[in-house]
Amino acid sequence: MAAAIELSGQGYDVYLIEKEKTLGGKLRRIQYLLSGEDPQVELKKLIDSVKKEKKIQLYLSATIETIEGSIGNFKTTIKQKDKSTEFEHGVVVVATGAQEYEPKEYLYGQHENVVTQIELEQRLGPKGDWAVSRNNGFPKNVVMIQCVGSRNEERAYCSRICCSEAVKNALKIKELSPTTNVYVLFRDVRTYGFRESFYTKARKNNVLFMRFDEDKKPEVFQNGNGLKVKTFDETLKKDVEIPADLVVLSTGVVAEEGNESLAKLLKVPLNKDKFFLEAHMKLRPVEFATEGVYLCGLAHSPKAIDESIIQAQATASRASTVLAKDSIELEATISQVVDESCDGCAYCIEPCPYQAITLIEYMLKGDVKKTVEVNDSACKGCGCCMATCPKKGIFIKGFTLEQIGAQANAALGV
Amino acid sequence: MVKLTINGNQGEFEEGKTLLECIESTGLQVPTLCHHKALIPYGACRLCLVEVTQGSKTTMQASCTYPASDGLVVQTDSEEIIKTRKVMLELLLARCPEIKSIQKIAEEFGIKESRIKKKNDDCILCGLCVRVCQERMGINAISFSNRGSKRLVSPPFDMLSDVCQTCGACAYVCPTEKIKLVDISKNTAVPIRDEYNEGLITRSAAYISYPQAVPNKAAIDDRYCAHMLKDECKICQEFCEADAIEYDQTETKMKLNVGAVVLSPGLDLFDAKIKDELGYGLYPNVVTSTEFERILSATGPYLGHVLRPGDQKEPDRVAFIQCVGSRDCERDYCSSVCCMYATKEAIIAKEHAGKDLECDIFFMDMRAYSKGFDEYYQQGKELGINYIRCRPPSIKEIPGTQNLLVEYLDENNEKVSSEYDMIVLSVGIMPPGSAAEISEKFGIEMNEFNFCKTTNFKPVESTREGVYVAGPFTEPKDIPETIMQSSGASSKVLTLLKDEKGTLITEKEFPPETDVLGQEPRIGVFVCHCGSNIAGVVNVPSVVEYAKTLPNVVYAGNNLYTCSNDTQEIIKDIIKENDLNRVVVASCTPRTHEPLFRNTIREAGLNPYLFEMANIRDQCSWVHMGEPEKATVKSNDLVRMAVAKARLLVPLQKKHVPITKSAMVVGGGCCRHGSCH
Repeated sequence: MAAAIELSGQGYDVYLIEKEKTLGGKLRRIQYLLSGEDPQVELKKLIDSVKKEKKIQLYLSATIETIEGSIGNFKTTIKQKDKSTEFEHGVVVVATGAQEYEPKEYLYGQHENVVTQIELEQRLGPKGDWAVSRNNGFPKNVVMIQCVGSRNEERAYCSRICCSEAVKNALKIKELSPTTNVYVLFRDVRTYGFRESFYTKARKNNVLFMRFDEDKKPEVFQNGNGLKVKTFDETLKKDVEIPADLVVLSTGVVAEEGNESLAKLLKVPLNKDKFFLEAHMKLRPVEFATEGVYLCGLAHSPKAIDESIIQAQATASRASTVLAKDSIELEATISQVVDESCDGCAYCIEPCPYQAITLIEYMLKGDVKKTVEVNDSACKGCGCCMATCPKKGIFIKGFTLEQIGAQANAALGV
Repeated sequence: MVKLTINGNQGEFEEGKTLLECIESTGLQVPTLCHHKALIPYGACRLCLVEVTQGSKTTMQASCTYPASDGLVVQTDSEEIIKTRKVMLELLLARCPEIKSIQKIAEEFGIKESRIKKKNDDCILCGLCVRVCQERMGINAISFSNRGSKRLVSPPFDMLSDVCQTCGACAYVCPTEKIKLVDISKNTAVPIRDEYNEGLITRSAAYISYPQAVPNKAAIDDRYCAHMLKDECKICQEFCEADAIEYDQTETKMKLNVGAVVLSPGLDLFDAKIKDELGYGLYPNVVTSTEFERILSATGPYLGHVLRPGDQKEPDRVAFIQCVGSRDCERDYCSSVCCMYATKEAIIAKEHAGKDLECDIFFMDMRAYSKGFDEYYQQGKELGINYIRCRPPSIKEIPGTQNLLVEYLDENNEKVSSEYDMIVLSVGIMPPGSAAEISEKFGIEMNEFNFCKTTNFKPVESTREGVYVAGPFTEPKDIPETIMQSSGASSKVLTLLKDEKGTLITEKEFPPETDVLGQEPRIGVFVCHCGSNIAGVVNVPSVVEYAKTLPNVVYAGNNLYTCSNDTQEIIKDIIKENDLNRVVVASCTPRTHEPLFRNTIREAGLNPYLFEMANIRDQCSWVHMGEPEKATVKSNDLVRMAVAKARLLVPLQKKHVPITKSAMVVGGGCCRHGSCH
């Protein structure tokens, strides 16, 4: 949404495609923030700005069927129920978000008092049953377990936000029910930046942080009607058993299932964890190697609200470097097909790193003639096609065989 | 002009030059120890002797003092000259047998040992030090004293000078490296700290701030420059071939009318001296992480060799201590980048010093939270980096060895003492020192830690409309986060100023393109000296002469700096005068300069693709620095190849594709969890 608001703010038309029925994604479930801001108020402002903005065309419950073309000139077909819509656009911003890991471990789904942080947050939020009832019904012992679904063999990455989320909810419990014991079982507390001070505050408020090792994960058992958590505390170097009324799992962020198909449509890469892979980790963090396609939010990697908004605004800025121009000037030294020599063997199509070549057929003197066609906007003039072609059917302007041959001959003195 | 014949070759030279200057301008070299371009010729060392024939008379003369005049015939390498030079070298070597610069020249002439009785002096009385102090600095802090065999260089009355300004020029020019300021001056020399290298080494007053600086230009530090301070010296002006030194440049104040402001003043690092228990500033082998970063760098103080500053020994064991100036009572925030940079520095240190280098990282929590970070942390572990979860309370130096002792509790709560050769303090990020001033000047609020205040939903906006912020000014962050925030801030500016966007642009106009199709190629070749960058190795005039012999070349010439603005005008004139329809430039890399030259020939009416470049800097003068002749032959080869291609060049046109001015945004969420600060 932030990307759409930003782009429309700069004066460009935006087609905003959302697969859900409503805007806002997972933010709709966030009840409060460490900073004290009200996320629902802010979300409403965002949604209102999107709906109010005439330059934003909103398509809800929509899926993308096809994306054709390249930088400056894309053509996309989307589907809503049975209705298909087609539109043209100059750039694409990928802001598809991510999913919450659904735990299989720690009796989740088997015992009603094993919940995720986001589920806990619903009860603690302004309208949550615990917040409303105050001390009534508050559990005595709450045990939070970190890195559920993160930093393991299957997903080696850190989900970045769960430590701060646990601190946030632990502080909320202590605020609402100071007598409740909160234990946070962690591996490393990753409250980076200014989040650190909330970690300090949590410790001051007697939230107990207990470290466990990757190889000695805590175990959750049913204990009569309640629960029991067994963990090896790395500081005490002892096994500890904690009776728990509520076990809260800090579940990680996993890539959206639809990423693979969207990546295929856009011809952009994913990393091994199925998040989208940017052009350069450090210097081009919101762009793809494919020009005119940008990336923000959790589709890139797990991140917090401010970081998602920053990245969304960044895509708008990068996209405007294209949209601000009336036309794209293409490099002149790109490939050119010699139709008479090309027999459509298609050897050049695979090696092209920019997917710029397609095989076409047309009628020539009553016969089907096969040949390849180059998308001038996508071609970067690298010359892989020319090096592959066995028939001199494609060449790079400014680097013809004759020109390079003359140079080679001059080098050899022949 | 003056006509001279040097070693059989005739040439024309500027008037008023000495023979040595003329000889050197042809690329020939004559040995000398007492000559300095910025000083009046002196003729002390007698190594630059040459044979000078005027009419029927041939004499042997010191070329550094002999004025060039019309018709002189000069021989620099006759048998007689070599023989005499060898005698001079033997005499010098007998006087100063241990001096490297003399040994080096002697070796070039095949002398290993002098036959004359050795003295153990270290001064050849070349007078460079005395002359530079007198002629250039106007100080006269040192002079010759005594006579004959007792002659020596000293301050007046052999007493430490109180007029010496410790500029160091005498020590700098001394060919024997004998001069030490402590023997001359009452004043203590204060070396200029090389800021880029964290003061681990020193720099001169005229300097380029760091390799690949943008712009990559030299600056004069007016706090130290002898000319700026005392109106003397001006030696750099003498050496600058591009004539670029302007001493009268001053700071200028400009008034800019702007619609929006982006503040990105960066950060300050925590001053590790504040934590005196860690011994930084006290023990030479306790360094900060930024200092260690410079030590690891190929452009750093030890050229990438992992050495400890105390005694420049290779360390066997290095420890990193995390959270120095972060996550403590005074600074209750995390600096976000130190866990990863310590891991990076440890990995690189192992790469440079060998995998046997032991690296221990003392940490509290490993905050490898961003994309790809945890994998990098795992990689560090696999490479043998030892992560120890403990915050050591203090560091002590072990007397005598300069080694350092760390006492800590290990994972089993047992007390351990570890000895290290070197300790790196991972210093944290502080708000910039200018934060308070910026806050006041721009009327924006700071947060409790004195970083700029922003909110979760307006993360690039300050508390004042139209003032946007980016980088660690708002919170400690790494490179990608900073880049994103900068782009975000620029988007805000684009939105605010959308009605004004593009109003200051003026379209550049080009003359119509000349139709060259069917024309016989007329090629112009421009060979670049690049100051001495190319010409110091490659014989540029000979490359020009060679280019003239190539088919279709109708013009070949050389330029001191082909990329300078003046030269672009010259190239355009030459294209027109000679009716050129192809242009070849033999200079540096097309990556940086091809667009410039293409633009130049386009301004002269040629299609920009009728241009070819030969990279005789990277591929010749740089890689064959020690083989000038081969470098010249290779330059000829590259020019020949470029000309061969240029002959077949045809005009190419860039296509323009119209842009659909709209965007598709896929995904209408905002974010998932509320873990914001």
